Amino acid sequence: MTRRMQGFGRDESGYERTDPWVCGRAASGEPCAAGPDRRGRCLQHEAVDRCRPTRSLRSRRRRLTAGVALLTAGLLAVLLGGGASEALLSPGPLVGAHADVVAGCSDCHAPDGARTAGLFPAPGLDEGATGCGACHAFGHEDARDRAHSLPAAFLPTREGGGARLADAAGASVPDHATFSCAQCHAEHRGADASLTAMADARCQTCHASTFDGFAEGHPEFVGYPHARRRPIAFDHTAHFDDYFLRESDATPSFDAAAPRCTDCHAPEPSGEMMTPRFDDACAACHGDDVAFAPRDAPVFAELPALAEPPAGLATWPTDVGARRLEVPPEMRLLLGDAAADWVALSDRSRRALAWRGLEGEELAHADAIARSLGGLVAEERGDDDALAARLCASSDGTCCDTTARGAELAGALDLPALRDALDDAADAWFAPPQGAGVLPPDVDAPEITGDAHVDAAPPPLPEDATGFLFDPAAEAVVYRPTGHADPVLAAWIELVARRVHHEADALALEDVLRDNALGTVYRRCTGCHNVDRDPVGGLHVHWDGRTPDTLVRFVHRPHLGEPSPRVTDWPEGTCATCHALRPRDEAAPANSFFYGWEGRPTDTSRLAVQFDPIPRERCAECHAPEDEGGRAPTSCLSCHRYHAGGVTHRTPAGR
Amino acid sequence: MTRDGEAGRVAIGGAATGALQGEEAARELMSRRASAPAVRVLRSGRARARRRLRHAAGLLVLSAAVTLWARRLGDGLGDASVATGWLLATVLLGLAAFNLRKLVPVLRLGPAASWLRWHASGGLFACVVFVLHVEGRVPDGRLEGAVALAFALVTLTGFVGLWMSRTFPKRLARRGEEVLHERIPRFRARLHAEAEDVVREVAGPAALASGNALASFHARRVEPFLAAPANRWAHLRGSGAPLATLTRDMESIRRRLDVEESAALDELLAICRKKDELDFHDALQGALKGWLFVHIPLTVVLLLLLVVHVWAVHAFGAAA
Repeated sequence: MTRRMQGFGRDESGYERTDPWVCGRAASGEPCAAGPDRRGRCLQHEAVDRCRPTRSLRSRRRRLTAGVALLTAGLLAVLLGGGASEALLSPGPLVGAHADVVAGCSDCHAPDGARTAGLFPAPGLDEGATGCGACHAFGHEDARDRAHSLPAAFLPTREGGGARLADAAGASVPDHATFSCAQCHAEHRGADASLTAMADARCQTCHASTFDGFAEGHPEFVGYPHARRRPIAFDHTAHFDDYFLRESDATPSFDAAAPRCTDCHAPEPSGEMMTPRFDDACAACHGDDVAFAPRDAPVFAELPALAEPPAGLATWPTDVGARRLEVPPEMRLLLGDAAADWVALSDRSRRALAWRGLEGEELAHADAIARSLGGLVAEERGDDDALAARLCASSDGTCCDTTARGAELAGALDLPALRDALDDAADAWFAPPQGAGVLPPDVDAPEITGDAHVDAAPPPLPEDATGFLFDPAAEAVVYRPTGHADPVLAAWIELVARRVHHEADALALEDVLRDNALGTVYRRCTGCHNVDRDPVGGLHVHWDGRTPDTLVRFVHRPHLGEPSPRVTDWPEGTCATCHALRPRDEAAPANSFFYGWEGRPTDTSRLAVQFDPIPRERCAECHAPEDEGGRAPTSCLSCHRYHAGGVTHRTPAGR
Repeated sequence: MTRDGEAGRVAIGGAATGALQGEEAARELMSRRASAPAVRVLRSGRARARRRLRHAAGLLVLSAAVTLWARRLGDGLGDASVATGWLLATVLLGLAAFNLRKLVPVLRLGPAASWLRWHASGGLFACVVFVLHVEGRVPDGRLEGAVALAFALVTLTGFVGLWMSRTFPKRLARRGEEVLHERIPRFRARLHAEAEDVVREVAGPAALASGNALASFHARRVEPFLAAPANRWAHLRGSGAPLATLTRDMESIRRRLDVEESAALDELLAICRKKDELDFHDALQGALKGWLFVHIPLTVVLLLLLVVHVWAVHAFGAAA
């Protein structure tokens, strides 16, 4: 058969409308010339000739597409509107640690139109119930939303480390307040995903001083790790050269012939740091140094000596005041609204509580302070809330702020015990046995006789009594610490230290804080625990012996070698590979390793560095690319961490 | 018909007239007339190769640039996945616009062939952006997984369609005459009727009842073959086995036929070959149109999922 079936000539192939309907007879080879109309109706007039038009391919495709679109849209509407919406919208499983504590989307995603345009934005640093800050605490809580979680004052000083910011003034530092944590820590990438993995180039977004690798171009170690202010004032030279080697009875528990670094330093369970513990390394020699004798117990409340009861009070004990030459800083925190009167007092009146001879405004201020103290002791008897309110009013909210540290601090202050001790003092100072404590002004009051409230000498406190106590012998409410690292005393000292940034009281407290001390009574603590000015405000006492707010992360364990589980098995000289103690003639005199409380971590002007610096080349022997013989990583995050001071976990309320 | 089919029937170019005179000029003229189509096809092929090279080079350069851009964003503090996501959404919308171009040809938005080329190149580019967007991992969220699956299916069907649109027209041009797909049923019906006539003319109206071998064979083997499309998958595969089998079966009964019936058998054989050509065209042209029944609905599903995905990302996503 040779003839063609399909002709394309003008007379051979007429136009046939094929969309959207096709003649029902087209398949049988006899389509109508006119075909169906656009609505699918056969145009034949005779009923016998009419066919049932069928849809064209294109029309069927359109209908299929529309049907699939409707089905998909309906399915999405049902799923998104129903209970499966969270499962549908979740972009993937959370990492294991988060999956254990997060029950649903709203645990982390909450509406926050002010920060982002998102309806349910990714969690930020907000410490609310949905923020990352609810569970993660930062070394510098007040600076957690800043670059490196460091106060602004720290950043420009870091340029000494070589990683210079694009703009030394910090202008180019991204505003972290607008950042979400998810900017760097991408969640929903599976249970085994890493939230902290990051490319080096990300660091170089801000750090304009770039280089090829640790072995090529990395800045030399300027202050790290030795030329830095440490949390604990410790004189290595003196301990090695004098105390340990001296043959005397003073150090009987040490092997004077062979002092080793590992006698004090042992790896922590994490293997990162080797900070000695007081009980293990120091207590044998310094245990007595940190103990408070009963007569030296910190005073929390005592009454000034007045010529007359203050306004509003009918009675005032006479055998009070003038026992100490220094008013305890804690008591100033209990004055509440009268703290301003304290500041207005003359320096002489502030230093001693013998106020019988005051006159004029000085007397008015003293009267207000005494009235406040009388109210604290007697009128607010048994009222824990009033005590907390006083503390909040005079501590500028430090102990009652909404931060986790504020809550932790408020709990550690043990205010109920202090209240009990104040109640005991009220019984002793304001005798009324009926319980009111203080006579109202319109009631005839007995004359002050000088010892009206004391009929007999009170029994002394037991020597081993600890905690908040009313000491009749001292005529004061005192706190007797339980020993080293007493949490209550540490909390009060921290509260006083943070109080320094309070404008009205700053000068007076700075006066007290001279010579690295929070008042002479606390020299037992601050003699070793350095006190620094906190860039955020106030002072910071380094209770933790580990060096804080460092951007460098060094894990000792892998550098010391794994085979030996006991530190004493390390070869002699292992530590000295990096920590080489300088000879005495090059080091500072004993006990002068750190001076004062002034200075930032890199302020070496007042430091006496006792160890030789570590040459970078020593690290680069291993931390180099594999093709150059290296066998340790060289990425930024191998040795640096972004969040200075680290990030710790805490359990938020309600979870 | 497709462009390749059109290329196969390029008209002879206009005659050269003028300066050439005499017998030599006439021979040269004849020679030029004869070689003109081949030259044009050759030139067309070279132009197509150059165009494809340009497209491939441009695609490579663009992909490399986007990869560097995304990497730079990811290394910095920018959100590379959001940026690549918007780029991918834009590319997908541009690709989907190809269908709009076909729906509204009156707008004169350029030749559909050009759109098809850009559609194919854009699809390849979208694959690159998709890999950058998912950062090389398989999405494990349900919605994201659905979006990725839809994208993969759309891409897969797109590649299948691209392969078919590149190979089928050549195969169609090589075999049989050019027929409109919509008219194949009527041609098939015509062949069916012609075969009936051939058998009826030779064996008579009651041939089947009388046990005529040709009529019996026609009723058993030829008539079912002519009545409907047959051997679609074999044609798509390019297999000629079904027709060979039928031909062999027809030849096997020839020894039982007389001369007149043998001639009729030849006619039936020619009809069957023509029908096989129609089936071949029906299968390939049907596939060229049928793959869109998968590609376009999946594209719509992808776009719908994309809308929800974009909303979810920006509703639950990080701050800018």
